[in-house]
Amino acid sequence: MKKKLQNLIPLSKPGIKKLLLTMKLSLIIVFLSVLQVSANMYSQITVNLDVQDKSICDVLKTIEQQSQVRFFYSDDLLVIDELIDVKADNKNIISVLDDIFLKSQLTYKTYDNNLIVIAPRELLQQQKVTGTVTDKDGVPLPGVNVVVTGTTQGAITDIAGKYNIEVPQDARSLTFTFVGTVSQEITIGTLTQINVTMAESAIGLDEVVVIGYGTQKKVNLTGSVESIKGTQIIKQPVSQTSQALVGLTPGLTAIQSSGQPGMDYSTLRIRGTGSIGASNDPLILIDGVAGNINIINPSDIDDISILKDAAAAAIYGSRASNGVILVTTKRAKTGKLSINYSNYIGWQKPTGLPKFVGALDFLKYSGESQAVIDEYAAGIISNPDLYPDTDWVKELFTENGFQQYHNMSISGGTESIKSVASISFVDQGANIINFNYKRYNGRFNTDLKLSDKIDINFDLSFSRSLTKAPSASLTYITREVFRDPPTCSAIHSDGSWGDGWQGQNGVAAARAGGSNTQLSNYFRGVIRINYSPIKDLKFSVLYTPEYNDGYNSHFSKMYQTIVDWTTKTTRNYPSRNTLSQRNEQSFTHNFNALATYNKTFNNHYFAALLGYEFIKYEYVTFGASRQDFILQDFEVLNAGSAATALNSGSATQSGLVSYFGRLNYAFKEKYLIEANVRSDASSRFASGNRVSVFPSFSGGWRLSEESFIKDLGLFSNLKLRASWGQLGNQQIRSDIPYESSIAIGSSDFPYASSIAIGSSNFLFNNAINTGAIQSVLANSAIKWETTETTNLGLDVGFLKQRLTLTAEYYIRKTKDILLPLPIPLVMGLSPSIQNAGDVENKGLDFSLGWRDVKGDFTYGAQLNFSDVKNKVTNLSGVGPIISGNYITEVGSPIGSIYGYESAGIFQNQAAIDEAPTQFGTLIPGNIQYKDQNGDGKINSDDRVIIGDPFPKMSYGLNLDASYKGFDLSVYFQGVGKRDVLLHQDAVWALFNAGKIQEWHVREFWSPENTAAQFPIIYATSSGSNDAQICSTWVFNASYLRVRNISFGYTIPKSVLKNISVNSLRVYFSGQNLFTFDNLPEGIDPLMPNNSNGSIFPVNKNFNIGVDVQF
Amino acid sequence: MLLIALTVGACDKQILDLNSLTEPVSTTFFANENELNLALTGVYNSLIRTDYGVAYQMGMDNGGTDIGISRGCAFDNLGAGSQSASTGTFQSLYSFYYIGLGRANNLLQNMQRTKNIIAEERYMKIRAEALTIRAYNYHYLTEFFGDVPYINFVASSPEEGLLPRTAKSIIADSMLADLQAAAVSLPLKAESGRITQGVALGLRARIALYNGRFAEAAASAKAVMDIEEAAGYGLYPDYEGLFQRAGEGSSEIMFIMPFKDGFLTSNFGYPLGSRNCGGYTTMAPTQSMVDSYEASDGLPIDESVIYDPSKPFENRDPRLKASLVTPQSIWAGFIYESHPDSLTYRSVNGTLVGANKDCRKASWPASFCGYMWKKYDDEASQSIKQLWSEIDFSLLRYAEVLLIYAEAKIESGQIDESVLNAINRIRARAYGVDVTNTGSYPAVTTMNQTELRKIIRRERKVELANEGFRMFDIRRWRIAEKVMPVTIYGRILDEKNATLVPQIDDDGFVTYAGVESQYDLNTDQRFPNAQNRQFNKLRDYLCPIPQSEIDTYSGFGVTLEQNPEY
Repeated sequence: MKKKLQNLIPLSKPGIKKLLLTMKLSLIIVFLSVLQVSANMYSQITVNLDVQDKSICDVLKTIEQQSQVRFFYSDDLLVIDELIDVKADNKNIISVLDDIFLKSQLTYKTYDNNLIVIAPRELLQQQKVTGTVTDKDGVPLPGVNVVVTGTTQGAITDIAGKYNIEVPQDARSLTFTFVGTVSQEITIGTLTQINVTMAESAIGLDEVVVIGYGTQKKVNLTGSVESIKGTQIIKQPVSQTSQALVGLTPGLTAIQSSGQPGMDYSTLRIRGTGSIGASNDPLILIDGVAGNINIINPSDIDDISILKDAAAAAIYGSRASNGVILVTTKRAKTGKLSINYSNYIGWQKPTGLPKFVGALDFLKYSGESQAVIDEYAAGIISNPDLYPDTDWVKELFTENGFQQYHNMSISGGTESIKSVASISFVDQGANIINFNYKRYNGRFNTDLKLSDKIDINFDLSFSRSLTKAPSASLTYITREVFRDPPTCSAIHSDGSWGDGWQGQNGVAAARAGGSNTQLSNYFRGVIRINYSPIKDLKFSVLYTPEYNDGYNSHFSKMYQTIVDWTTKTTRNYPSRNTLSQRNEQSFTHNFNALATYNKTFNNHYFAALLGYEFIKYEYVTFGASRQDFILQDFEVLNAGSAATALNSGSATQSGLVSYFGRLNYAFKEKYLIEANVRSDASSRFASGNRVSVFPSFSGGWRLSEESFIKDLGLFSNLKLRASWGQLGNQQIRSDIPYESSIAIGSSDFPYASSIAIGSSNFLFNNAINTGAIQSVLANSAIKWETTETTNLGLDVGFLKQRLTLTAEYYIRKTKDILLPLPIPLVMGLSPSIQNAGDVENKGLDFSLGWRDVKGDFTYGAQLNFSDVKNKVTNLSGVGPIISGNYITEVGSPIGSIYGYESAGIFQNQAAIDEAPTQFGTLIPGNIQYKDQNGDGKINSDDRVIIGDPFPKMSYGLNLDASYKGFDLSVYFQGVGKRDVLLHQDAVWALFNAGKIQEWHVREFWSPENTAAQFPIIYATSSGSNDAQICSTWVFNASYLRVRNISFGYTIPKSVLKNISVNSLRVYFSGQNLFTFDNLPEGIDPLMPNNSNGSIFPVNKNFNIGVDVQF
Repeated sequence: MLLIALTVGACDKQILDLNSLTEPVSTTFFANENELNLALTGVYNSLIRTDYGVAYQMGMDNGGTDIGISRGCAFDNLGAGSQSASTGTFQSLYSFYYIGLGRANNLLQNMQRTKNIIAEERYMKIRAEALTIRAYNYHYLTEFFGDVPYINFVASSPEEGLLPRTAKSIIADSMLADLQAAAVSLPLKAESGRITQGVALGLRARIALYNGRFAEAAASAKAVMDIEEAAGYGLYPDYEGLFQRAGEGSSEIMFIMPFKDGFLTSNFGYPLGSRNCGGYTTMAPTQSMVDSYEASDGLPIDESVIYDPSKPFENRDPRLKASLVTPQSIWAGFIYESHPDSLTYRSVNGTLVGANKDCRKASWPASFCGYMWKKYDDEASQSIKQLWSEIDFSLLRYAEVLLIYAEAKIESGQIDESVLNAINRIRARAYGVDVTNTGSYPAVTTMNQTELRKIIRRERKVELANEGFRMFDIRRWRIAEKVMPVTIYGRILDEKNATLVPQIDDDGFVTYAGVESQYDLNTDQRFPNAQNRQFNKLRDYLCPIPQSEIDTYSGFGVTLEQNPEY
């Protein structure tokens, strides 16, 4: 077909003209489509026409003469000569053209350069495609980029997730992209409506992670940052968020050691233990301000970032030496309001409880004669109150451990105001009566957009938690229950309390001994004003006042036990009742001001951050108590004896002022460089030593952007990272009273020698006189502990990021550790802390991930592994620090387990006679200790290191899959090596007149079981030969645990559409369901080190829940 | 924005220049009389130390000497001879006394800042009280450890604190001088708990006696005796009641470790109290303590004709039953019985109460030798099964001053009527009669030094039992090597048929050769330090300097000498 180009008005560039001349019209149109389609410029163009019966062709020529516009069409178009009437009086050209082509088979299209193409309607008209983009939960996603594949022609979804795009006839597919999701390419075909559900990508190259005072694309990171999604947290039905972090990322160790409601949080450690004296807790920031991770509502969490190396954490300077955890709460997206309700209800059960032998076996192993046992056996049946056979554990663990969680949130808004608000409630019971934890959370995160230049974040959040426990400590209750012989009564047949062991009855203490209630309120407001005077430059100012108060009411009640069943004599236990109440309040001012600047030009990217911050903390507490309540139902101080009234109070304060900055430079997103610096000044040091500067430098090389790697076609990502930096530790005393680790120096003023008032009183004339003493030697020279970290990292992605791998190696050296180095006792003062010790942690973090989508089937796996070696490298020449059963000495890990080394079991008297002197008179079956110094006797000098309590080779494997409405995820978590020392009632038989566990009978030495690992069952007490801290009692607590299994089903939309529910998911979730370990029966591998058995075991739990969206 | 940053920046000083809200700092303290009084109270506070819930001196007697037995107190290792330089007890004790010394030195050194603003009398009195307590701490320190570093100033750096050991005798000189000086500035009477002239002089007498300065001991004791009337001292007529609630604040008690509900309670019920009352009886008297009380004719039981082993608690020095709960005696409203066959016990009116937890067979390990201390075992609390008490613990009482006087005079060979009178006043009081009523009690009449030495040692053993004197007595008399490494016996099991009497030597040492069979040997291995007591005479007269202190010194390159054989 011959085509003639006519009236092609000279274009400015002759080359184009020539090109156009040789092209088929259809191709030209396609080509032109890469030009900017434009309508704006034509709005100014007007024409004057008054023609009748003129051909379109002529009319167009007239218009060309009146304006700069040039028309482009083919003479082949028959209809171009069609005659028309047009009348226009200074009318806009577009409306004139619309008139002209109204009834024509032709139409037009406007382009830049005043070019208008005329072509047949079917050729020029583009296909219109509309649709809605949602996330996997059916929530509309605004801001999704929709482009015609291979072009820049595109649209963005609106607040309802809707888009509307015109696509050229020959366009084959649309590509949908959105941050944090897997990009999708959908074939258009004949479709005019394409709805898309975006699936989250685990390791999308576009993923943005939260870093200190900002965000960064993950591919551009040079430091070591791990990221945990909120969905990974909420999947686990735990009330303490720290517990949900167990096993999720390499390098973060979360150790939960108790199942007590409210106290079942995990101790968090990032890359080992760096300090000896000061805190080892990471800095936890919630929306940029220090806080407690355990008091926030898990559903509010959008994202958690873990800053592991100095490059990532140095921007937090003196508080960051133990790593930083950044918790970001959810913010609203523009769109119509959506209401979400989610819940779970479930039941908890201990993962393990010791099993004890009954009364008859107990008597047998205690050496009673058969006649006594026979008499007792008859008595158990005829008079169980006089001949008890008490299963103490069963009497104590009576409850079903019910727990429930409810969360209601509402989210949405417009461009100018949007907010997310939530209220949640968690109620966690326990298997022991009178233990309970309740927490109420509320959050209101609002984003206001005042103008293009100013926006404001305005957040309020509160939390109220109520932890209830019996008055007697958990330690007391469980210790009594795990040691009181079955031959003592817990509860008599008439319901009265048995006397237990000399009045100590753990069951009675739990049920009737009064209560210990801790109430904690927390309130925080956040206002952040962001001002962006010009593109790329942003200022923000944040002020966060935070208020905490705590109220403790501890009422120790008396209960009456029957001392002797025959005579019914009674006693009151404890011998008097006491109510103590305590109130504490703290207030923290957090202020920071930031300036950030980003600029990209050509291949260069620059970013700079400058900041100022201050934190001021104030704390006050007071308490009062009375004793001797005649009517113990009235739990108020006034009901107690006025003569016993006591009160107390104290206060403290601290401050931190900081300046910091960051510089980033990237070339072609290929070579990445970052530098951080922070200067901190703390009130905790004398004015001369107050300020320290913490720098860090890091770099990255994205080899995958190099052509020689690209050409391999193997890697979707390949990056090398290296960093170095210094961090400080000023947590000599924990900033925040609810954090658990209060380290050495109970003062916020460790450099001053204060005179303590009220702790050294005396009685004159039977009245208390206040005393004052100086008890610590002053050392005004102390300064920060410094941690220096070097990190090497490798990130690899294969197969379009479906397979990803990250490996990191680090060396973390803590210097100038604040230690109370011994001073002569002669001085009569406790040693001041000094900057003395050095500790080194070397470790490896590794993670491997796989994620893929096969039609309706999405699945993924994430494996992580980390290992760290801890070593004390310097204690300033001062000898080992021995603290109970632990030793800290140069060359060994901090707090190594310290005791005797077992040399086996004495098999006969001859072996005893030959052996070095042990403890007391020995019999075959006793433990033999190794005489380390060969002096022929075993004493404290023969103790050696017998274990390292820090977990080694921690790993986690998270598997998930979804198919149509079904989803399943399974978390495994484990530790390859951990030494745990157990003693006393935890593992020793008949210790201090305690009882015997069933495994003792099987695994302890007897003349018939001479190969046993454990000694003979034999009454022991402190000082007995077999009741010594020795390697026999150091167990390998390695384990593999099925941490969580969640199985859910999302009801199809077709079923829901009649009940105005947007989405509905029902699920089952189980925590700690199975555990594989080597420990004796009934001992959980998380049993804390040095445990004597008196703990609240970790729970497994079973839950069902729903998640509804309206 | 910049303005905000600058405004806030100007406040940096307000954020960083903070002071403690609760406590003053040492640089500005000791500025006025109120602050001196606070600090002085802090010095007094250094007298307070409990072990197993009671005054630690009781632990010394029960864990570390022949008169008692203990399970779980800090001095058990001294009884078993198992102490070493790393035994925590000694680091703890060593540190305890130096903390007290440090507080006193801090006050004594820094109070000079106020010299011109406080009335001299007041100033000197505060100084005297601190000097007395400083001497008191050195007294214990030197008795436990022998030569120790002497410090009478505030060391401002660890290096200044690396002091070598000073001979005990030199420290004694300082103590005696300080107490002499203190006595001048102290009043005759003061509120209870407060140091008076009599306290300073009484302690001076004790320290002089323990250091073999007999003349000074006698003189200081005499000085206290001279102010007996003026200061209101005397012997409380009821010896048993003296250590119960009735005796609190009596004229005999001169210096105390005070106990009061809401301040510090004595949890006597655990180590001393009856198991039937909820206690544990883990500190208890031995059979040899029981056998050490004279017969009521004033003779040791192996010499007395009126002592009947089948009725071992009859015809005895009344202090036996006043100090100890003996079998079949009434205690806290019930009849105490520890015999292994007595599985039940009865109330005072004879009704059966229930299973007898004071019997080892019913509740192992109940009172190990079959007796309980009555002294400081607050009977009024026990009778309501209350395990805590407010009875003050006596640190110095007038009877001890009399005993010091007598012993010092005996040892220095200046035996006269005043010596006999001092001893006899105590013996007469035990019988509840006047010293002149010599027909009603076994008065001492001999003037023979050897005889009197025997008597005064017996007298100290029984009069001061369970008050924390025995440990230093058996050491300064050098009899520990004899009395300590022995088997501990329990009570006679078959009293009605008992015929044998143990032997008692000149030092009051009771031996059981040939008579073991009638006593409760209690061979249960579960209580090992009850059976096997050790004493290494080359080593155990002194306690070990704590290894940690030697290590601290060596960390600074300085050697601190250890006591022999440790």
